[in-house]
Amino acid sequence: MQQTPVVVIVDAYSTARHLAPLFRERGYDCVHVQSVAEIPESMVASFRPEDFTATVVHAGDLAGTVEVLAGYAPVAVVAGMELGVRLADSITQSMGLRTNGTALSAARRDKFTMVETARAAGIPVAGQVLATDWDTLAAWYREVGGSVVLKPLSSAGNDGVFFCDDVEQVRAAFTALAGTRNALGLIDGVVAQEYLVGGEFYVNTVSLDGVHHVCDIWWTERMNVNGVRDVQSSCHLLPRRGADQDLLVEYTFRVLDALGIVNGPAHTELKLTPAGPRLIETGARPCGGDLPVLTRKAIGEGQLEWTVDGAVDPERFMARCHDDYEIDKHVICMHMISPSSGTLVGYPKLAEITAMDSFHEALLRVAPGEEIHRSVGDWTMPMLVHFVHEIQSNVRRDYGTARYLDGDGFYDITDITDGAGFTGAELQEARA
Amino acid sequence: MPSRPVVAIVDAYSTSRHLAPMFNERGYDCIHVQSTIEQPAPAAPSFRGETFVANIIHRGDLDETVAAIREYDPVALIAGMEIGVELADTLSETLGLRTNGTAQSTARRNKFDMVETVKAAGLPAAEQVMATDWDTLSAWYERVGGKVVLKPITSLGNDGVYFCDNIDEVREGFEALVNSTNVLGVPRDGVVAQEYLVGSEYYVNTVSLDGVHHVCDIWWTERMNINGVLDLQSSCHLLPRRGPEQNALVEYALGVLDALGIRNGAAHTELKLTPNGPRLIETGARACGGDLPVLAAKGIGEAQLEWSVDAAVDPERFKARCYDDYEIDKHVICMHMCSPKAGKLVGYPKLPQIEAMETFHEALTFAKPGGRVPETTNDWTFPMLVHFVHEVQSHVRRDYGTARYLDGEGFYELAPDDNA
Repeated sequence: MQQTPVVVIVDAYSTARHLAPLFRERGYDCVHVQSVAEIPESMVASFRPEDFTATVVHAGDLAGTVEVLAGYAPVAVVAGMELGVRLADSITQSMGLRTNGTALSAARRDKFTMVETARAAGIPVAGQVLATDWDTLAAWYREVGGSVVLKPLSSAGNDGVFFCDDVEQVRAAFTALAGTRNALGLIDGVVAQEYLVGGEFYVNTVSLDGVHHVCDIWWTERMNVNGVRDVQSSCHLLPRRGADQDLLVEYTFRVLDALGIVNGPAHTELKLTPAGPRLIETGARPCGGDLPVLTRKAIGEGQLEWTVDGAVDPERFMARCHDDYEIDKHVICMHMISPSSGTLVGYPKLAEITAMDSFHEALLRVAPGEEIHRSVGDWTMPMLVHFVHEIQSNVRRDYGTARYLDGDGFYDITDITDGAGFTGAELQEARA
Repeated sequence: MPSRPVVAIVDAYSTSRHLAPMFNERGYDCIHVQSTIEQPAPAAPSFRGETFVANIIHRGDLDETVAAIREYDPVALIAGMEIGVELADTLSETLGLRTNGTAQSTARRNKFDMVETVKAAGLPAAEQVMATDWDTLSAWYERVGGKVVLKPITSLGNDGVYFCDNIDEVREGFEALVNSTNVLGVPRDGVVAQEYLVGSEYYVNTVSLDGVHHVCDIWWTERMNINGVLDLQSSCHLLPRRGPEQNALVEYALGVLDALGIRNGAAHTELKLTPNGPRLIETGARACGGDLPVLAAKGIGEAQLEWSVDAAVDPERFKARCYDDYEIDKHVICMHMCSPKAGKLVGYPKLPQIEAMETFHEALTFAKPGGRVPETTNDWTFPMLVHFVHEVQSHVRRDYGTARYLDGEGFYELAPDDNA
């Protein structure tokens, strides 16, 4: 009897929840590997067990996990998200499948080593220090000065990122980081880096046997709101070619090579400084926030489709990997930003946004009746809005209009616990 | 009589109020020619009488005005703003100074003729009709259909512009326009209807000398659909001189200048970049308004006003540099704040947050606390302009985006009786 071939996905949460259905469409069954005993709380809701013929929980014993997986004779193993990247490296290497290998696993998962590895390869990168104690950090800051960024060694999203302009702020951030855990439940040190000036970009790629394809490039807009610097406020898909894109892509390929990313998806975050691109970080997995899904709407296929090709149709991948993507529809992913915390009554102006020409979808992370947080980072955005349209000026116009509507007056919030924002009703009450 | 050489400026209001001081600095005295007996009310407060050695009021008798100007023997005569353009053509031609001549004056002042002239020169331009009666307009709309724009034949800013999606809206717009006067108090003489052009809107600002054009600054203008108005201008972003879009826009804009006979002086060309390429909205043979040339100069060192001065009094300097591309030293954005409703303004409680931004340069406040703030529905009802200027483009974009988030509800504190 002919068996359906199998693909293994490690930690298929968040954006990677879309992978299994794509493999199934191409005639593959999927087996899920859970890299930790318990699915992280923030990821449970996005997991779709019905897409998998089996789930294998990795209990820490690589040989055991590999033995179980061998029973399915998978043709490929793919990391779904950051959490599963290291285990995916180990499994693919052990099973003799296409792999990035484990030799540079640490350089791909630990941000400090990542930047040092790129530096060693001759790629210009930010000045930085890894500190587990205050003295090391303080000595480094005395030397560097100016604006610096502190973040946990391993993190997801912009969870636990601090911007510091003086030694007091550096100390406060260090104390806060040393005493907390990140959204994925990991902590192992603090990285301090010089603050890089410039626009921030994503370059999303899929690689096969060391050949890289650029799936999508994004400019990410930032705002200084709610007392936080550089909060991501939107993502704008860019054409494949352009002066900025050419610099970013060339640099990204060097980073992928330096980090040993020869197979599978990678999400690279960069700043384009006046001195050229600088690495923020690369993850050997697809871009999050459902951006690859939005990309597919704009250019027909995105990083997830290319990941499937890389895993199960290498000939198709190789035949097309040097083609540039072309934008059929322009897309913007907007992050709505709540000025206050409290209980959400509703979004009184949402109907004005859903009526726009280029409105595509609103992804509500906070529904009326639920607790809403003042937006200070990726995990506290109450809503994402996707704009999609053939005409770029329509998308930009609708996005700008929505940004005007966002802020005070967009959120009807009661029992406000934090934030300078007020509802119209409360302003009237205060004046009465 | 002044001992220094003299430059004449016709209607030096609004942005062109900056011209006389610049000529003064270069060693020239300025005389002002007022094209209307009374200065137009919206423009009058911007007039700086003290920067001129004389003010000559044109009372309709060209000979009398020419004779009065001849007394000063000007070396150049230029138009300050749109209402002065036709008179400036006539005067410069009569005085034998550098001129665009009067042969094509109508094509430069009348938007309908302008587009037809451009088409006749072989440049692609919008479908349009000029109508003084309803039958002509409705017959044209039956043929063209879809979204169309109605506007007066002569206008300023976006005063009196109607977007119409069907025959009923076309009729409403037509009736509103033929029964009104413009912001300068002049009765309207008809309506121009045009197909609605899809795409982003840009400005190309130029100065010409003997038919040679210099591109001073290029802007992308952002639009929002708010307060029931389509495509309300919400900000202007200075673009680099070169780029695929700029190259297409400039090639087209210079073709428009040639078609319209703009051989000398400043021109402000508004274009849409449609999927089929650039299309003319309109060209004015005068400097760009809204003080954008002043902001541009902060970004690139010198802009349309400085180039206008060179063209008028230092043609050799102009010609030596006119093919040089401008370079952006500092990125600039001009933000139009947009009030969501009218009322008595108590204050701008969040303005200090904007003033504290790294790239904040200046806030030009039109609606002052204690007075009325209008609902923003056109170019004349912005309560405030904010200028952002900085070497790092991402900082300017970040601060602008943040300010746009702060704008809207909550940015305008209105007196309680208006807030109920």
